[in-house]
Amino acid sequence: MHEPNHHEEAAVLIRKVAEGDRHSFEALYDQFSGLVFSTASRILSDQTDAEDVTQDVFVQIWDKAGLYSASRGTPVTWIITLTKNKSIDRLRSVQRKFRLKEEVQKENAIIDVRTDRKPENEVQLHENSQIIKNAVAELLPDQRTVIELAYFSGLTQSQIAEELNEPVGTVKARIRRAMGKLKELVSRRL
Amino acid sequence: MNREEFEDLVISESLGMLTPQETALVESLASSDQEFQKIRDDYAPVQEALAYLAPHQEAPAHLKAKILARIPAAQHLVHHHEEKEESSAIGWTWSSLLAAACIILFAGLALLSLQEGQKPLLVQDMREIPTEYVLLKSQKADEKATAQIKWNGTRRSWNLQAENFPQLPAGKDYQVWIIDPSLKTPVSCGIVKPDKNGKIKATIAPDQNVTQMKAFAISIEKAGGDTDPHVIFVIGS
Repeated sequence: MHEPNHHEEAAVLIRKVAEGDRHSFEALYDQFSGLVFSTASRILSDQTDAEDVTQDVFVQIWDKAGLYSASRGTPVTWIITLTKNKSIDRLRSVQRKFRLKEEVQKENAIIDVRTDRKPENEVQLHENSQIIKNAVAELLPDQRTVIELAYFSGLTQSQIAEELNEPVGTVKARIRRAMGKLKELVSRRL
Repeated sequence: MNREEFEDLVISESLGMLTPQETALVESLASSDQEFQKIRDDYAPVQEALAYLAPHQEAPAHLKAKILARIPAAQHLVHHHEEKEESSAIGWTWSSLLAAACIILFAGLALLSLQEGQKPLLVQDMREIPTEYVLLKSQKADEKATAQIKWNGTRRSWNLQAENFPQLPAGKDYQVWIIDPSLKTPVSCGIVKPDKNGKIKATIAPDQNVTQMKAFAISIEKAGGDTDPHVIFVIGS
């Protein structure tokens, strides 16, 4: 995860971007473009759409940097929220919602394989990404599915329940248990 | 609310599933309830970690140049729009003309107001641009809240009309803002309140002189308003 001083550095960059500083904007791009592109790719399952969304997100960062404040979350969570919103808007517009469910199931299979990998192979993966993936890998498959759907699809709990053909109460309880476990696992690894 | 309900709210926040009403509630509780704040702090690492949930990929190398080409060299609104105009749709051309007209008119009227010793107001003669309006939409795709800010040539004022604005909890108000890129912070245009049907009709004016109008926004703030926007509810440029 980004340490607090990284948050402060990123927050300073955002403030400078708000003042029209292109160099800070480039620095911000260098720091976050991978994260934005990865999240957009994950949601959209399409390289071209992910590139378009990445462009839109950074143009939006340029335009809205003045609206950022710490009360809206860390720079990472603010930028990812912009990315998710843009991606989900595009996802809806191209009607790819149902493809996501299949992708979630595929992703779960990948996570299952990944947990069996040897540590030397793991170092090639992004460090921050790995912490959360390892934590998610320890969730039950149905918990992983519901967390990924909740986080990446923009669906409400009722819509997720419909998608999974489960009662809303079951989905709600599953999300709660999964998030409780993630909290425990992530805190332990930081 | 009990601890379990607090936790549900924080979980929804972490997953990006809050409705605007819940967002307002979260902001309110975060500033007034220690137990809620503690739960929120407990989940902060998870919220941060979830940002890294997608398998990591580097952005394609050509993307940076493309994005930088869309960012204006200078911050001035007219330049910004001119650059977009060159590269894309006819719609931007119209927007650029409107924006440029706005800036010229604002500057002229601000000068007039100052000469008359009055507080500069966002007033101008828009008769030549009768279709001028700014549409504000919720940042969340599933929210129905919308607002329009229109120029009233007869009354020479900006009028706000909004729909589907949920009632806020006690201690919270909707606040209108103009984003002027030449200023460090957005300029407040005051507090507005929805009626029981979620509709708002109001005349708005900025608290200070505005020379460039880039966007309007309505945020959720503490009662009576704040000096900076915190939770943007609708926005449009």
